[in-house]
Amino acid sequence: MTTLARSIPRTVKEIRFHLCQTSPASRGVRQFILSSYSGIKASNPDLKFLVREAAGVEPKAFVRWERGVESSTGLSGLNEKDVASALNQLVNQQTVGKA
Amino acid sequence: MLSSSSLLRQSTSTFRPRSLPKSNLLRSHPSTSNPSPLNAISQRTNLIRSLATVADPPVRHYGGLKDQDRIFTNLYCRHDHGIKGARSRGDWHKTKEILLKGDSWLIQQIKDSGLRGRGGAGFPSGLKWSFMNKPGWEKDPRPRYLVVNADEGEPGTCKDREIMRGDPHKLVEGCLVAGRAMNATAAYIYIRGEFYQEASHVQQAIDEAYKAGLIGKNACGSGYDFDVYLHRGAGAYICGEETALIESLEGKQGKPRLKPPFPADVGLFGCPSTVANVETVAVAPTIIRRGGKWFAGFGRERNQGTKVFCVSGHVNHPCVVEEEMSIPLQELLEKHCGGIRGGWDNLKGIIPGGCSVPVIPKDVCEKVLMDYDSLKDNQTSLGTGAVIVMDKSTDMIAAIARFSKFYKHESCGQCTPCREGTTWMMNMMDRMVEGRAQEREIDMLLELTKQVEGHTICALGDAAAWPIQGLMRHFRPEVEARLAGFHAKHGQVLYGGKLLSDVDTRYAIPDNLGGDAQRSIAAV
Amino acid sequence: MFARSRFVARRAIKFGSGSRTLSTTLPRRADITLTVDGKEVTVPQGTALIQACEAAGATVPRFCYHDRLAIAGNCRMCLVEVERSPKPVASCAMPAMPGSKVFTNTPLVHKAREGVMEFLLANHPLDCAICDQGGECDLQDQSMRYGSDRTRFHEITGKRAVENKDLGPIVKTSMNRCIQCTRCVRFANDVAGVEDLGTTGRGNDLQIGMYVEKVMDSEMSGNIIDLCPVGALTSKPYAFQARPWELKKTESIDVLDAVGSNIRIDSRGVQVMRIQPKINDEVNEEWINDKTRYAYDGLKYQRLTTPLVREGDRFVPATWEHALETIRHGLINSGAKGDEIKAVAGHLADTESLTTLKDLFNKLGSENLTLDQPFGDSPPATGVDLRSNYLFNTGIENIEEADAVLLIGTNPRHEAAIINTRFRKSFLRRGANFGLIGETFPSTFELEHLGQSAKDAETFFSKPGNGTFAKIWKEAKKPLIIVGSAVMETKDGAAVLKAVSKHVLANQARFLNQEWNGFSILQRAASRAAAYDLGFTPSTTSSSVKPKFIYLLNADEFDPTTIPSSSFVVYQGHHGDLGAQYADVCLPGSAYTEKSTTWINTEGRAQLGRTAVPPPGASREDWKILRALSEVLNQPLPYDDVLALRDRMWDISPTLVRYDSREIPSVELTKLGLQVLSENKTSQASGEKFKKPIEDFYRTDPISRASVTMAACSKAFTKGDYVPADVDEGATAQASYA
Repeated sequence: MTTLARSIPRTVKEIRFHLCQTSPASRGVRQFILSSYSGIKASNPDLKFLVREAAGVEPKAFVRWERGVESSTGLSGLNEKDVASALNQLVNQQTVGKA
Repeated sequence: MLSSSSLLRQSTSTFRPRSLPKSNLLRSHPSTSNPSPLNAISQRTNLIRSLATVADPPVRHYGGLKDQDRIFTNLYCRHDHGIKGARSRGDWHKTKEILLKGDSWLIQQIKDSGLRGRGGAGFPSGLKWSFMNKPGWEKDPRPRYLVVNADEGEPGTCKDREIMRGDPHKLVEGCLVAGRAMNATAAYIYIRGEFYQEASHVQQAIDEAYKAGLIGKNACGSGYDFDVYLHRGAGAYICGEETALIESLEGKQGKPRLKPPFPADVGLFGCPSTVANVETVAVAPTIIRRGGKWFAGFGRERNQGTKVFCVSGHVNHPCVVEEEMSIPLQELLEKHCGGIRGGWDNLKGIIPGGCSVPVIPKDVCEKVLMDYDSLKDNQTSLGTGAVIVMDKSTDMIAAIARFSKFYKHESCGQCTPCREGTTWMMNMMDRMVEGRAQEREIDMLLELTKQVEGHTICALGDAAAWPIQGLMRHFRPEVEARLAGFHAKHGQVLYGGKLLSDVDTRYAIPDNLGGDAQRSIAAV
Repeated sequence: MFARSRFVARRAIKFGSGSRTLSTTLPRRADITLTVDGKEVTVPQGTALIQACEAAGATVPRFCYHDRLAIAGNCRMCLVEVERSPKPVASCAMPAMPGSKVFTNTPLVHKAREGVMEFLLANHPLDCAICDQGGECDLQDQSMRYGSDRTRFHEITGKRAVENKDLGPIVKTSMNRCIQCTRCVRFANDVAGVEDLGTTGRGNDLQIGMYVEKVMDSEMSGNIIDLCPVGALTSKPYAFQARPWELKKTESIDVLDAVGSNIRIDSRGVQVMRIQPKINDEVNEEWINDKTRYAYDGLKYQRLTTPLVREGDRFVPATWEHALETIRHGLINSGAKGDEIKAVAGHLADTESLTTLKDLFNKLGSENLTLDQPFGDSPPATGVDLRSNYLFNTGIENIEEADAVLLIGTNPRHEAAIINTRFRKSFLRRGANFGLIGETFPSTFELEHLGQSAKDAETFFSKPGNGTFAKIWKEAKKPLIIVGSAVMETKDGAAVLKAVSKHVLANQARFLNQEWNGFSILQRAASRAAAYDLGFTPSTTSSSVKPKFIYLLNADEFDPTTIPSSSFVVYQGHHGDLGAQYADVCLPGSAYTEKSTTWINTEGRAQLGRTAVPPPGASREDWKILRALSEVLNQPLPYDDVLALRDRMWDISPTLVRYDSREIPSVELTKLGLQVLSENKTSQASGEKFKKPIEDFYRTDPISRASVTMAACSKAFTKGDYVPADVDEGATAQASYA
């Protein structure tokens, strides 16, 4: 987690999570948020880390880069570790475009 | 006093006596050979089968209450009304033992006595008081109240004031005994504000009773705590209605509440309460002391006991008198009031129970007994027992119009039929006094009364409707003659009181104004 | 006496697999069955007979009965026949009894209704032609259906006449028409909390009034106009303006506070004639406050109708192309880069335009998206990451379940008048207790004043003491803390939130569980919740940057000193208010009645407003202006219609387009949010007293500031300067203003 926290490049302006409040597919995302939120925010105070829950949505992560470019990846059914690695991949990818 | 809805039934149907099989009794009656007026009355009473008759009843004559059977011994305030006088007349005797008998025994005695509410509704008191002791009442943490209705607003009624002025201790002891029967924590006596002397006497009695330890903590040494409070009203007839009385006691405007919930569930201050009339409560200790069976010995079946009647009007000696129930009306008037002035034949009509009940004409008065059922069978009601006697010098229409004015003034204004209806009926009656009405307005007025009756929150609407119905039922020819007389002098009257002669003949007269009787007036 | 069935329904979920809803159903009372007109119907125990008849499909006429008010039972129009009852029974007063047989169509019932109607009309004046209620009058409708065809009342004494009462600049009274149903009295007592209306007199002289000459000083006074079944209480601003059949009715959302009351905009042609409430049990029940109801005439004045370009010290009308080109030149010439390009969003900015503005500015490289409130240039103290930190988590309808409520730095009566009525309801019906830390206000419920500053808040949580409220607070089973938005606009915002969140976390079991969330923030601006949901907030570095290009989106409450004189300012909005004065280019946008946009209320509930009238002149819909601007600035945004834009909004947060339902944050994330608040590194709270954010309830935004009615209300109620017009003088006292 701490590696992720420190490895977020400065060009990432915003990370968004969509998850469902109750469905099992979102459990991994939820646990990830609960455990890593404070770490990530501590290392990246200017980063917006938006968590948006809505019933029945497919869990997803969005990353907004500079100049409004965005990419996203689905996190359905992943456990906490996989969520972390998916996010890691997302923030560190050089390619642009939605996943 | 206002009567409850149970009296409604009597107003709409006309009673037809069924033909009776001949009974042996008539032949063997000793008085058949020499019928005297009083015996003739009893005979005629037995001829009509009514609500209270039993097959082959033992012939019995009602009336003639002996002094030793009188409950109220200081009705005329000739003796000391204080505690000493009261004790000397038998009040507060063995009250402790009475209290220790317990609530169910007390209620049973009242039930056995056949006491019915003396405030006008005539609901069996034993049954009414037992509603307070529903199973599970002990678990209710709220205090419980007995409320005594001393408002006495019904015009013609003056019995409660005599009781409170002369025998206030009977009332206070009655509060205690009735309160014990209902397991009440306190009693509130709501007295009419205009009764200054009566209120002073009652307050004096309360203070004396507190001082003597008869009420308050450990009343009479029985371990039962009971308080009595006196509250003076502010001059509204409507506050004699039980829920309006409760509202007034609570400090709000005296407007009747909706029932359900009934006062026994949610009453004064939201606590279980029962509202009872002064006379009902005041006779309770004497009944308990002398036995329910003793009280039930007076009067007919289901109309038992004694009653304080207040006779006013065109009698030679208007008075307040305690008499046995079911006493023939004629006997009551002739024995205690010196008869109608100008003789019995000078009688026009009598209102037997305060201005809420319909008037009865002379021929009905001759056969009717003064109790609940006999009067109900004759399409009137006992009400409060306030007998208003009117002789032939009375303008019956003006009398009923005065009643309509009273109800218009006293309506609280909450519900639509009473608020608008009483004003409308008053306006119409005023015009009928003058004769300034169209003939068909009599039936229209009757329809209006039917529209008010039964559709209101409290019984004031019914009470406003009944006098007019009684007038039209028995004195309709008089009303029609009045109208005809006015028409003869002033010409045709349109609906609403406008004279046809005042109408501008250049315009057409609409059909719904009653001018169609003389459409050809346009040619004039 | 009657009880509402209190289960909460959730609409079918639009996307994804069905999953269990978060809210649990509250236990229902036992059901009873009775027969109405031969039809069997099952209702919860405790419902009134009239509701049972309605459930069975039988319409029962009534005047005094209203399901949200106490039962009066005095019009007697609802009489029905019940088996075994000698006289008809008032169905509004009688509780439904199991197994009873009720008839609503028998001759007895017909006669009773005709009789009551006849009595009502006996003293009712023949005013239909000049009465505003004509066309929507209960008396007209019910007499047509249930009354007789002609009157029998021709008395030469005439009809009753009653004096008119002057209740203020909003409610016009014609007391001749009053049928004494007492709905207004019950509303004023129970809902509005203004115990001034009452009945005086007895019998036919019964009058409804104030008894003394007094105005009805309540922010909910307009609702008695809706409640009055006849034309006795009508709307003064709307007097003699229109008839109901001429009006086009559009359902929309109110934006003059953050409650998101559902309204119905009645318009005729291009003009909004009036605003009426729409029933939404979860938000505003059936009420709206006076500002919502009467500020609509501000939509006619001070409007920006063409693009304006500043030349020297005056504005010159321009075409859209010219205006947008001017902005482009302005941006280039100002040399603004990155965070020097600043956006300020105001109270009335809709969600679509906020989204578009954010996307555009992010494309331009700026993260400097601010709000026009004090401390709006820095990230908000609540943060925007976790929704539970800035929303009214309890839910408006659940307020009634709270048994102890602590208000911090808020005046709910002015900030969210509808929520205030819920407080009053729970105060009356459940005896809820209230405590206030902040500036006192005349409240409609009893509250204990516990302090005035952030320091007092900290003290209350650490050493509550032995006051009445403190004792109740300790034992409360459903405590509720409401922090007003104004608290976050002071320098103590973070400190207060820290103290509150620590307290909530320490008493988690009572505050946060599956059935109850007792931590709420009360927003007072309609756009804030949307802005926070979008992440429309600056980063910490942005606030230190001096802006060179400022885009004001409906922003009129900002501090003018934050605008450097050298910067290039663009104002996009619908009224020429504060923002337009500082602008170099004014772009005319649409007001809330002129666009179909999304509004997020303080609970986070997305609701859709709808277009009722076209925007005036050359105005355009706000998000379309920004889309056009993006084209001119060579940063075209990827959506061309509103549906594509809403897809983009879904991508940002699905809650923004989940209309009419409230997405409740989960308990774990709420706890995380509170933890974040409790751990923030902030200084100690100061003793500076909280001040009420709204000084004048009637003049809080450009629309209400432009409104003549609101000006009259402000004069009468806020300043207390109302001279009752001599009502006998006629026209001026009883007619509308504009």
